[in-house]
Amino acid sequence: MTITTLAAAIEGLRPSYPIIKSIPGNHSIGVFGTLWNLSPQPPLGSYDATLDGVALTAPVTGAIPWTDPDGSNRAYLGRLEITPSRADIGVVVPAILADRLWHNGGIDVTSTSAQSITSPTWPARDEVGQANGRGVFLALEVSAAMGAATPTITVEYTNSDGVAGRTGTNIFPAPSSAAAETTLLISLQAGDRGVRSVQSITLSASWLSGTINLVAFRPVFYAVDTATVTSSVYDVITACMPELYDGSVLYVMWHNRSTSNAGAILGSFQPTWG
Amino acid sequence: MAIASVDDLIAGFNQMPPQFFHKAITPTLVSGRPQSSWGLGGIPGGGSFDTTLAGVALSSSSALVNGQIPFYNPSGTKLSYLSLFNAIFSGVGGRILLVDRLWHNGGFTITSGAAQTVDSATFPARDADGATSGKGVLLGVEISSAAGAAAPTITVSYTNSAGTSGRSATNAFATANSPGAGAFFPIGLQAGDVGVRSVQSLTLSASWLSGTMNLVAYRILAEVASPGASLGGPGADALRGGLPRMYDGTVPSLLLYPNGTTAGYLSGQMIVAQN
Repeated sequence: MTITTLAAAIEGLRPSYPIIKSIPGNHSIGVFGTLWNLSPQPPLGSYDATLDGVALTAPVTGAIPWTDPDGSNRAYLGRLEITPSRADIGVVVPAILADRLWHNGGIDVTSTSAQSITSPTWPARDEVGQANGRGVFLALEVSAAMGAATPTITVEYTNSDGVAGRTGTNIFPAPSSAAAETTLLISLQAGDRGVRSVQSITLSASWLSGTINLVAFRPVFYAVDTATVTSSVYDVITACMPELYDGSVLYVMWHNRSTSNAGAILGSFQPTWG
Repeated sequence: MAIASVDDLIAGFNQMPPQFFHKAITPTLVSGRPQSSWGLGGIPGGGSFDTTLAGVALSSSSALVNGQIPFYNPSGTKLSYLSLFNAIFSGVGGRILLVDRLWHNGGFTITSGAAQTVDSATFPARDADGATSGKGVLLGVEISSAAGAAAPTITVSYTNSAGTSGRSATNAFATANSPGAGAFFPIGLQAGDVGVRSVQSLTLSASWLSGTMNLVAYRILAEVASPGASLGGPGADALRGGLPRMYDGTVPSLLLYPNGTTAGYLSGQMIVAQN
């Protein structure tokens, strides 16, 4: 069944889960950061160590705890709140609540050769609840701080229509000595609507040291707010109840706005079933 | 059916998935002068331009247009409404417009001071009333490759939405030397007009020396503020945004009015309710 009334949306609200993440400093201004490998709540997640990576289906450590709705119910975003703990930590919404479909590891950060990836089939959680990859994008996450270089990252992928040989590059320039949690979104080739699978990653220059991981994610909701220390709160009306599919592996990316002091991101996530 | 209640709105959610965008705004910006993201890479990928003066009508009904934020027609007799548009600009903030791109052209001789005949193709039935009359349809000149060091006045001759021909208007923002790719110069309307039905000609007051320019017809769907770098204003949700109709074949794209010159990225989402 589907939620079609306000009463049903309210009746279906499930318990709220608090989000508490400690943000270290030293992140570049303007980049996104991932909360995936930060603690304490949810606990920090880990990465796969193989180039082919692994498809992700709840429960996965690092994700917001998830339970599939029972019976014929479907799940939707009921409420989301994101708040930085201090105005001077540079952390502010926008923040992206995303579903993490796949990630990998084992990328040689000193190599400029194309590194082959044969990603497994995505879970059936693209924007229409299938495995084709519509509305699924790629990001490069730094899991251990990088060296002093600024390579361009090129990823070869198959798009959601099944067309191979597509390429995308990092939309935001790679920061030199990128800190852990730095997240660089990968562009789509003109005409593409999403990524079905990944075939390779190539760095234009050695990044000298550190660890990077590719992630396939579906943005569920994009939260913005008007000031640096206020809460960004979205409800069933203002968030438009995006659907959350069985097995969702939900996490948050934040945007590093200005300064790079340490602090925390606080918030809560609440689904509704119906 | 139309959305006429909160329950109608909720029932209309999730008929079309939310659409996320993230575009790098890399050209040199001018404070207050619009910048189009149409040709820029990111999510979605960059779009292209037509090369004929008559141009092409744009529609997503049979296939998405390269460069557009995805939009999918509703099923059956359902109607589409913008239920949320929120966005930020990471550079210096500004105002961000979500527009429906109805038509664009190319093939201008950017060095010519003569009237260049356009005789535009019929615009799609996506004016403010979902018709082809042009109510609420505006024009703008978009630079697709950097122009030369000159600042001509742009005059467009058009037929207004009431069907009156021989109307004339010029660029609402002064052109400038060497505008980069993506620079966008809205064209005004002659007094009394509320939209453009078709375009007959375009004239530059002087040579722009080099580069490529294109004329675009568009309708504004929503506008949000990004009051500072990476800050978002209250989004255009169903209540604040007024639930503007999005007609079948809509080609959503973005215009940025930056508050300064710092480059950055344009990021946000568009959510459509269909019922």
